[in-house]
Amino acid sequence: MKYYRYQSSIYHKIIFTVSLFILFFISVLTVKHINNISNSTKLLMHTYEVNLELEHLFSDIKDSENNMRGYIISKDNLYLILYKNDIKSINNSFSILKRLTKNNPEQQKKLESLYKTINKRYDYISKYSNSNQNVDLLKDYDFKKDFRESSRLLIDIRIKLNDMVHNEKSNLTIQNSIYDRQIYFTPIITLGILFITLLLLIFTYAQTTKDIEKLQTANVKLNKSHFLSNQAEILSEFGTWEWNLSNNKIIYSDNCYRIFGIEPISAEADQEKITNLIHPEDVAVVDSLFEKFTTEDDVPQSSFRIIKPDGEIRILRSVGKLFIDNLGNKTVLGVTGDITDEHNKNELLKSNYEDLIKINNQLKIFEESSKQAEIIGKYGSWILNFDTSKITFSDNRYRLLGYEPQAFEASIDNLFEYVHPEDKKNVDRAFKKALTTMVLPSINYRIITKDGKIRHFRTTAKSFTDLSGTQSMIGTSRDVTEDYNKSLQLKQRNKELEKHIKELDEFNQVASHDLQEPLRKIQTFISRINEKEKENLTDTGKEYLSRMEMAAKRMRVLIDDLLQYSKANRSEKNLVKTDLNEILNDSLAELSQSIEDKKAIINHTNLPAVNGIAFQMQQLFSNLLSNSLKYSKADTPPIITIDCTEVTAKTETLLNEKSTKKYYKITFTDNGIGFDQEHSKKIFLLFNRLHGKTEYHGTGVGLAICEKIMENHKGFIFASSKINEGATFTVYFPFLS
Amino acid sequence: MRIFIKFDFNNTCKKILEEKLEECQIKHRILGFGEVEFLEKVSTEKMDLFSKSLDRYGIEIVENQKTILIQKIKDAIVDMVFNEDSAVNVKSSVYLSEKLNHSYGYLSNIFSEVTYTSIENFIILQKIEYTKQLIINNQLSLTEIAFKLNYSSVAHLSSQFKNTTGITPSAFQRIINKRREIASKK
Amino acid sequence: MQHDSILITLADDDEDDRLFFIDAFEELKINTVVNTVNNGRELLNYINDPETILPNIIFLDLNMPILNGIESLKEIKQNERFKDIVIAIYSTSSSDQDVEDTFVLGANIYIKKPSNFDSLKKVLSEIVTINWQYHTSGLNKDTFLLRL
Repeated sequence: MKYYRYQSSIYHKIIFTVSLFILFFISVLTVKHINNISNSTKLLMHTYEVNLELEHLFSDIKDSENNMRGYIISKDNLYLILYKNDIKSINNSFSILKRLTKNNPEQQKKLESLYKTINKRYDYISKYSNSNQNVDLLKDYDFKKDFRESSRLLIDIRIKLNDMVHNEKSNLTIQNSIYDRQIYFTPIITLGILFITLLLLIFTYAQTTKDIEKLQTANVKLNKSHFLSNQAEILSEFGTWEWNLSNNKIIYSDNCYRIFGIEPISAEADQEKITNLIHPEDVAVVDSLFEKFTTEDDVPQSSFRIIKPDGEIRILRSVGKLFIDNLGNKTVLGVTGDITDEHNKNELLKSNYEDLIKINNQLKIFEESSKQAEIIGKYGSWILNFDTSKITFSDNRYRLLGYEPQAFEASIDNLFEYVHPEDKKNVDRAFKKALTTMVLPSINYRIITKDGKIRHFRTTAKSFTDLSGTQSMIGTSRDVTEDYNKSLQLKQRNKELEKHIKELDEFNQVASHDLQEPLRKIQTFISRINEKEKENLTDTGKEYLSRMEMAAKRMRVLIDDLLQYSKANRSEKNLVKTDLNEILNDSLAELSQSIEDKKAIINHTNLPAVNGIAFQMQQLFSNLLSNSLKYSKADTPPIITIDCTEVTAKTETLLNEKSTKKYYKITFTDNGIGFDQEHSKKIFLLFNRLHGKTEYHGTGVGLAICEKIMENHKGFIFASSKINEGATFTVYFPFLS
Repeated sequence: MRIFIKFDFNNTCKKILEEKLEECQIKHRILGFGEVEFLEKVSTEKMDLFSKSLDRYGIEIVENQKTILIQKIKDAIVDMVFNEDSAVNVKSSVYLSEKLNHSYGYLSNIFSEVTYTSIENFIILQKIEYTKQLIINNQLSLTEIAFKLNYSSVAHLSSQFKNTTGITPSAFQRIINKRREIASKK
Repeated sequence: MQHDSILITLADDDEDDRLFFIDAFEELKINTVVNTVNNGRELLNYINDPETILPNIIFLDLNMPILNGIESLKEIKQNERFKDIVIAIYSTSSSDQDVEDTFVLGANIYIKKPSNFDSLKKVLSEIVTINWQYHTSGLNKDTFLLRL
């Protein structure tokens, strides 16, 4: 739809008018000249005619003279008839001359005088035409006189005729000279005017070409702008339309179709089609809108929904205005735009705004609560704005320093003013570093409050950039005096505890190691007495000696076990990759005698390698195996099965751990006497025994050691059993890292 | 720097013997297992000279018949354990009596009488000795060693090793490795 | 036995133990010569004396005043002259750690002092015979480790 008007320049109008005028002028001039020329020719012809007629007249006169003479002489009537004919011709010539010279009064006058002269002459002649023919006129005097008179008249006529011819000629010459003069200028003027016209035309042509170029440029521009407007329509998701009210047709722009989800050109767009796409609930709205376009001048824009052919619901907005052209055609021009996204954005903005209000409220609450929290938590905060170098302190920061809130103006200088002189250097250094690294890692220092008390503070700070791009650093200082005191106490206690443990350890060493020597000697001496002096003893003495030996033996076992336990306790954290297969082999070797004695069968699968302390691992295996061997049923050879699986912590109910940490689960299952499940925890306690000393010798240290060892290896040990149905010991080792 | 050497005791001794016999210009034939046959009569001075020259190397000439037999038994056992891999399949008593042409009972008695230990113990001692060497060489796993020395299981070998030396094979290996570490630091 | 007596030296500060030790060898009737010193210092002085005929086996108690067993062991092992002497640790403790540590330092034998005289005799006899096997049967003394 290309709408444009070209405004022809005022130049063109003037040139056009002038040219027209000139052409008209030239035409008039030419016509006038042609008339002149024709007049001149007519004049020539007239003169010629007059001359001819005059000659004719003269000759007729002469003829009549002659005929008359003939008659008079011969009296023959034939001459008279001829004479009468000549008279008729003369009269005829006269009438012609009279007609020819009617425009020339001078010639008329001459003609009249000629006529009179001729008539006079005929009067002379006619006297003789009717006379007796027998009279001899020749002899008649009158006759002779008349005859002479008639001849003189003839000469007179002749002169008058010549005069008329001459007059006519001179008249022609004058007229011709006037025309000649006129005709001489005519071509020059005509040519001149034609040249001017030509120039004007050339000028006009040039001007027109220029205008055409301008027009073409304008056309290109128009094309471009048309293309741009098309693109703009697509981009801005609007389309234009033109509703011709006279034929009720609407012409839509390409993009208008697109907005409605119809391929342009694909289907004929009419109101019906569009109406079909309008959301059923909004049809009324659209109808009234279009109604308004035709009636009202200023229709506010109004939006409605459509359902695109693909089912998508979009929100559109239309504006339109009625135009009436000169011919009275009514057209509504309109723009329809897709405002779905805008609408959604607005919705979003609205909800964002609501959220903001909510957040703002929450912030207010938070601020209030943080104030309370600061008081309860004994901390204060400060915010340093890097842009303005302004610093603000929270109320509680003042309180922590012993001041009323806002008692003095906060500034960078007094941020650390109350720091204990001994700590000032450290704090300053840390703060300076923080200003470059933007983070102040936790620093501890002392401050002196207004009333001179020393308090321990801990400060951390971190910089952040807010939405407006302002960079600030927020610092929090906490009064950790109590914590400090507590940790001081804790340190003290830890020290004491360490000392205690060390002492205990030393005691263990001494008890187990140094106690062994005298005991060993007692035992050795007992064996010496047994060997050498036994026969010197009474039976009671022998009995006592035997009991003494037993007691000493038991003490030895106790001490040995205690020593092992204390060693397991003195955990050496040096865990190295240990192949449990080797450990098992070593343990089996260690217990080979016992296994052989009991005819035990040991089944085992391939075992993994774990992080462990080799000799503790072996102790664990030996203890568990010897335990199974020891508590075997008297009548059945022990069968011990060692199994290993890989498990995840959370699937193992025994572990009570929710992680995905992986463990090796190794089980030692025997067919021994077992124990009541209710003792499954108790058996790992030190010196705890389920059986009497005489039934099964042992000190109740073995399993305690096992538990200790598993603890050292970050593993676990569990026992499960039923009386007389064997026991299962389960150990969990963390996977090799 | 320290290097670790493994040597063939028998071969070394044989080389030394040969050298010394040449030095003393004694016509001889070495019969193996520490037995040399003189092919000529040797004077007492020459014998003294030969004896002294061997003394330096800790080799001594044994004259006692019993001692000779004991030495033969020991050599046979060492050979059985170390060299003749196939021989381990044969019962050691059969092997020894066949090789030394004496009844096993006789050999056993005379061995215990002189050495305060039994032939069986000595065989075990030699086997463990071989095991130690193989462990130190670090080429075979304990399972492979057990198989090579005809033990029924690794556990059997381990327990015998432990019974003989008082320590387990892995502890043994660990100790040797640590010793080497310390030695290489010096 | 072709050799003269086996020379044995015991370093132990405990008088009773020295007594048991000597008694045991006496009863064993092995051809041995036993002498005793009271601590590591005395032991080193003894073996460093050029007059001394070097013992075949030295028994070392670990827990001794002045110079303990470990220190003595280190010093002995530093001297090339003593490389042929078999070192037997003779201690009340029998922790695996102690055993391993002393073996690593070059001890050949580790004995936990038995709490029974018969056991003592048995242990000492075993040591002497096995040591003798090593001595006479071309066994590798470097890998001679024995724990009793």
